[in-house]
Amino acid sequence: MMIDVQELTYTYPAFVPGGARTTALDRVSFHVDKGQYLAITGPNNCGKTTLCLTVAGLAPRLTEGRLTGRVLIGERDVQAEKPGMLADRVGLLMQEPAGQMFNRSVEHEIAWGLENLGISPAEMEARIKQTLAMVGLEHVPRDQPPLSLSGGEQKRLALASALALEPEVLILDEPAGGLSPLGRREMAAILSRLRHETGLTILLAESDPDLIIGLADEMLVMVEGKIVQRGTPREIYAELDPIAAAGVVLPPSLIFAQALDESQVVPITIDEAAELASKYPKPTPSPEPFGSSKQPPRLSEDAIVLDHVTFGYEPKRPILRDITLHIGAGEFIALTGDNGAGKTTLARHLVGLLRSDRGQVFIQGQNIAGMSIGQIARMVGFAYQNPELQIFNPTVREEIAFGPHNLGMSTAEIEQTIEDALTQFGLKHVQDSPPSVLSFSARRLVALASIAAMRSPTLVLDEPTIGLDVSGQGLVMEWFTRAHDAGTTVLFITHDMELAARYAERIVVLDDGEITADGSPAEVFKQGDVVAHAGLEAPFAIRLAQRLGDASLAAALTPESAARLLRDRV
Amino acid sequence: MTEHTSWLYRLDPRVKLGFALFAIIGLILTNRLAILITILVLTHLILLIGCISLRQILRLWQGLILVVVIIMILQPILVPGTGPTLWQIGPIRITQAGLINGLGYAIRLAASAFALAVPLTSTPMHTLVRGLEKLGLPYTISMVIGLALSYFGMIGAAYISISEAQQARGLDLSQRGAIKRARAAIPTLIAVIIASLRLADSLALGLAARGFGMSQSRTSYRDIHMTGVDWLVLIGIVAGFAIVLVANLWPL
Repeated sequence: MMIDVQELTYTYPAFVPGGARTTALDRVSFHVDKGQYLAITGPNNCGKTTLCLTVAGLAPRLTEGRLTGRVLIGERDVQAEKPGMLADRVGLLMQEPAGQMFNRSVEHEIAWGLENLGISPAEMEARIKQTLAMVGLEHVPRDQPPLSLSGGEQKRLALASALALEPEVLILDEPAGGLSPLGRREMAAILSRLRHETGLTILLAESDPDLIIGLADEMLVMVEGKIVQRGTPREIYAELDPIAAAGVVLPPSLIFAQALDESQVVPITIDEAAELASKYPKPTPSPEPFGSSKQPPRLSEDAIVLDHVTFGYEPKRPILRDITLHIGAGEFIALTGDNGAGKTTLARHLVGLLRSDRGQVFIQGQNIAGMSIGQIARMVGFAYQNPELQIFNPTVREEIAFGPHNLGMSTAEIEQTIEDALTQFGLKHVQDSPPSVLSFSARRLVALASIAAMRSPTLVLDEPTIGLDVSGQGLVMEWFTRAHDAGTTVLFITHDMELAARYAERIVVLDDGEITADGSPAEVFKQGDVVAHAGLEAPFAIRLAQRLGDASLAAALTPESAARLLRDRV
Repeated sequence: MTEHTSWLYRLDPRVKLGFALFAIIGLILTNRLAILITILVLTHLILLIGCISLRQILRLWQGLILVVVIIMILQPILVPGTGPTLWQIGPIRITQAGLINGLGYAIRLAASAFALAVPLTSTPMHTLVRGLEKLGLPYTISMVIGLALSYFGMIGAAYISISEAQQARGLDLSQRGAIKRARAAIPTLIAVIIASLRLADSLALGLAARGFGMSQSRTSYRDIHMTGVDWLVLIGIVAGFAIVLVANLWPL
C-alpha cells in the first residue's frame, strides 16, 4: 500500500500567552511506493515525530495543532478516518512504547489490539506466536509482565503488537533510540527481515545510520519541518557538507574517509571503509596493539567507593551482585552495558537514591548510610535518564536556580551560575519559558543545565545524551570536558561506544549486575568476548582494525585517529 | 503459591467486585464497632490468604493513615453527640459517643479501602475490565476505569521520583518542619500533573494506534467464566452480608 503525502503543513499553537506558533512541517510532500522502505532523518525538532503521527492519522486530532495538505494511504485520505480506524492498515511504533504498555503479560499486550479488531481467540493465538517469533521474543515467557522486559525487548514487543494487526504500512519513530548496541543490531535485523520477507511499506524516522544504510531504498533529510534532501542513502551521504551542517548523524566510516581526505569515495559501511583503508601501507610489525595513549590518571583519593554492594528490587532477584567499584577523584568514566544490566540501579546507589541490601557506599570517604539524599546532593550531582522527573519549576531560569539555592550559594553566585549554565547549554532564548512546554531535547538540556549549575565535585549522569542530536551531544560533551579539566569527577552512563571511546578515560562494563570489564577504553575493547557478552560492540576504529587484521591500527579509538595513523604511514 | 497463582487471583472478578460492594454496603448499614472491626479484619485475612504481601498491605495503610487519624480527631470535635462530656476546652466538647462515632467512621473508611483492595490488588487489568463489561458496563467505560486504576500506581511512582529529584538537587527535607515539607510538595504535585498529562496524551495515541474502538464486535483473548468455586464463594459473600444485617438488628 503506497503512502502519498501532499503539501503537508502542520503548526502547533503557542504554548505560552503571546508566544509564537511553531511550524513543525512546512509544505512536506513525498511518495512511498508499495513495499518501499523510506527513512527520514534530521536533527532534533525537524518534524519527524509530527510527520509519523500525521501519516498514521493520529495528529492533529489526538494532538494539538492545525494541519493543511493531505496524506493518502492507498486511495484513502487518513484525515477522513477516525483515529484508530486505520490500525489494521497502518502499524505505528512510537518512540517511548513503555508508557503505552498497560497489560499484565506479553501475550495480552499483543492480544489487546487483536481484540479491538474482533479477531477470534484461535487466530489471536496464531498471530501472537507468529509475531513473537518475527521480533525474536519467542523465548520470553508469555505471562511475563511487559514492563519487566529490557528496553530493547519492550520495543520489540511494541513492534510485535503493531505487526500482529497485519498492517500494510509500518511507521517507526526512532526504533533504535535508547537501545544498547546489541538492541540496535537486533532491531536492524528485524527490520531487514521485514524489508525482505514481507511486502510491508516502511516509513522510518531515525537518526542512527545503522538502521538506514543497507535497509532503506531512499532517505529524506528534514530540517525545521522542511525536506532539504532526498535520495538513496549513498547519494545523500555523498554530499557531506549539507548533511553535516544540518546536524545529521554521520556513519563513522564517512568521518573516517573525510579525515583521510578521501572525498571522492563514499564508504557508508565498515566493509567499504576497510577496502579504502587496505590501500594504505601495512605497518611494520607493531609492538603495541591496543596501545591507546589515553590512560586513566593515577589517583590519590576516591570520590566514591562501592564496597561489595548487592541490591535487588525483589528478594532473591539481585540486580547488582557484589559490586566493588572505586571511582577516583577527577576520573572521567563511562559506565556501559546492555539494556537491563543494572546501570541505572548502580548510578542511583552513587547518590543515595537507592540503598544497598548488602555492602556499603562511601562518598569522599564518608559512609552514606546515615545521610539523606539532600545531604549527599552537596557532594554529587545526579542527572536522571528521564528529564521529565527532574523538572518542576515554572521557568527555565528558576529550574536552574533550584539546586544552587538549596546549596546556600549567595545571590551573586546564583546569578552567575545561572548565566553560565544558560550560555553553556544554549538556553538563553528560553530562560523565561516554562520548561514543560519545550521540546524533549530542550528539556533534557534544561535538566543537565540545572545539574551543571550546582558545580558539584562529582557528576553522575544517566544516559545524558539520549534524544539529543549531534549539536546537543556536542554541548553536553563540551560541558563534561570542561568540568573534567577543572577537576570534577564525571561518571556517565552510555550505550554509545563511539562517545565512550572518544571521551572517557575509563570504561566500566556491567553485565547482568556484575562488573565484567574495567579499564582504559583500549583495555576494555581488547576483551572482545566480554564486550560482546555484555551486549556491546567495540567502536568503529577497533572494528576496522580487527577487520584489517591490523593490530597497530587498534591503537586508534576514533575514526579520526585511525585515519591519522594510516596517513602517517604514507 | 504466589500472588499470581493464588485462589484469590483466580477468582472471577465479578465475585471479587461483589465482595467489595457487599462489604461497603455492610459498612454503611451498621453502626456497631464490633461488626465494623470484623469486616476490617476479614478484608485483611482475605488479602493475606490470597497471597497479597504484608508489604502491600502496609503500603496501603501508609496511604490511609493520615486521613484515618484526621477523621478520628475531627469527627468527635465537629459532631460531639449526646451523653456525658469527657473533656471540654472552650466550645470544644468531647463525649464518649463522639469518640466511638469517630472511630467508627475511621474504621469504615479503612475497611472500605481494603474491601476495594481485594479485587484491585488481585485482578489483572484486562480481567477486571472484562468483569466490568460482563456486569453490563460499556467497554469504553470499563477500559477507562481499568486504565485509571493501573496508572494510579504509575502516578504515585512519579510523585516519589520527582520528590527524590528535588532532594537530589540539594533540597534537604530532613532539616525541615512540616509546613516547609508541605510547601515543597506543591511544585512536586505540579510536576506530577504535567507528567500525568503527558502520559495521558501518549496513552491516547497508543490506544488509537492499536485500534481502540475500531470494531463493535470486540472479542476477548482469554474470556472469563463463573466456575462452581466462584458461585460457592458468591453464596458465601451473600450469606455473610445477611449475617451482618441480622447482627446489626440483634438487640445488644
